[in-house]
Amino acid sequence: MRLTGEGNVRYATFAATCLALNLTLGKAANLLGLPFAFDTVGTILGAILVPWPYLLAVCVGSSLLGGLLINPVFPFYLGTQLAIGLAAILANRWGAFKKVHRAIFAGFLIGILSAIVSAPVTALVFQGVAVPSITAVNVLLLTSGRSLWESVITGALIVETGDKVVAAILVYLVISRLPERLRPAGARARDER
Amino acid sequence: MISPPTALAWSIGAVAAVPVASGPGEKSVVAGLVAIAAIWAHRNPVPVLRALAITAPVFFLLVVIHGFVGPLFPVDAQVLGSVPLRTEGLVYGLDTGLTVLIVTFAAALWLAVSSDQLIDDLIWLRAPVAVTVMVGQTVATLSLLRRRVLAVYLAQRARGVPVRGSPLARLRALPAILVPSISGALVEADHRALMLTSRGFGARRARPLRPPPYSRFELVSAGALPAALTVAFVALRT
Repeated sequence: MRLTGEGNVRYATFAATCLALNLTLGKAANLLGLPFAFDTVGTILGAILVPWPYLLAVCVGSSLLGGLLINPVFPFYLGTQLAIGLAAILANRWGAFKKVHRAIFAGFLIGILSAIVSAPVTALVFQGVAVPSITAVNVLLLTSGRSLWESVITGALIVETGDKVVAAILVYLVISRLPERLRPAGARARDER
Repeated sequence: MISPPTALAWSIGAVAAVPVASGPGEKSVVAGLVAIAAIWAHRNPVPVLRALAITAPVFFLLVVIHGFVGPLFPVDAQVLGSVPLRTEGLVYGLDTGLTVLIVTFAAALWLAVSSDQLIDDLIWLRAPVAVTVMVGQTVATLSLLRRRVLAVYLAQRARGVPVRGSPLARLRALPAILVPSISGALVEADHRALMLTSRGFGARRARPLRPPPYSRFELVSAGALPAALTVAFVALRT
């Protein structure tokens, strides 16, 4: 793929916006006192709006800059961001973000994948202690007698599925309300039918 | 301020030192050296203190849970009469916490790099236009987006959207705040892309006018932190 040209300036600008969304939307959740991070909304949006090389840059940038701006453990979860990006690309090809019930189902599956991919990092590198929201659940499960891996995977599944379902619904709402010239080609074709 | 090559050399040196350092003692030395480098780069301790503040909750959790509360490591002593102490867990928590601290300090080095100089260097290195645009637009969009989210939150509150109350009420308010913020950001991105391309940006690769103005001191100082880390390791192990 050529990385010069007007189309690539547009994709790069969108990718930069998706990266910035990953790093700043957590603020809205903080303002409302909700336990969501929204650090992957930009990744899921990027899977719909930009080609995969730009999405790769969004995932890498989110992990590295997220370590400085959100939580210092973010760089260790680069694999999770990449897995979410890949899953979002596949979900978009299936048409997950055209209907709200499909978006919910896709968000649930992305949450499960995210939990499975992040579990080894949480268990092996941090022994179950990483992001505060998941740490609280992990410690509760550990003290109840469950093994490290059981606690880490269960805690991640509980937190990640909720977070990713809300993120997927948000992405569906945003895509359905974008001006026509910004919407992906598939969405425009659907509306013309 | 430091130059991008110096920031790159120092951050790679800091991250490479993590697997070489064995135990909390050596990692403390590495963290100290990287912190000194970051303070020198900023000419100000505030960014380093901010990085410490970001890392403190994770550090605290790692030390307290693995060293005292969590069941993963065996209890081998008691402090203050009844608090169980898990020495192995304490060492593990300190070791992992210091790793996270070193990575955060290494990232804080990049806050001392001028974004204009970084973009100039990317152009001089003939980086693809997409890379240059992404770096520049990310820096520009971050602060804009933060202000936009806060502005939309206050505007929706003024319109009577309930943002207090039960968790369900706050959850229902979330789309009213986030959807306009995200949609507005994407529309703005489209306008910015149009403005850039209307000025010929991206039509062909930018041609740099001159090489980056790095002094000999800057080029030598790029090796300063890796050299200091090497000397520290040799001194610690002899």
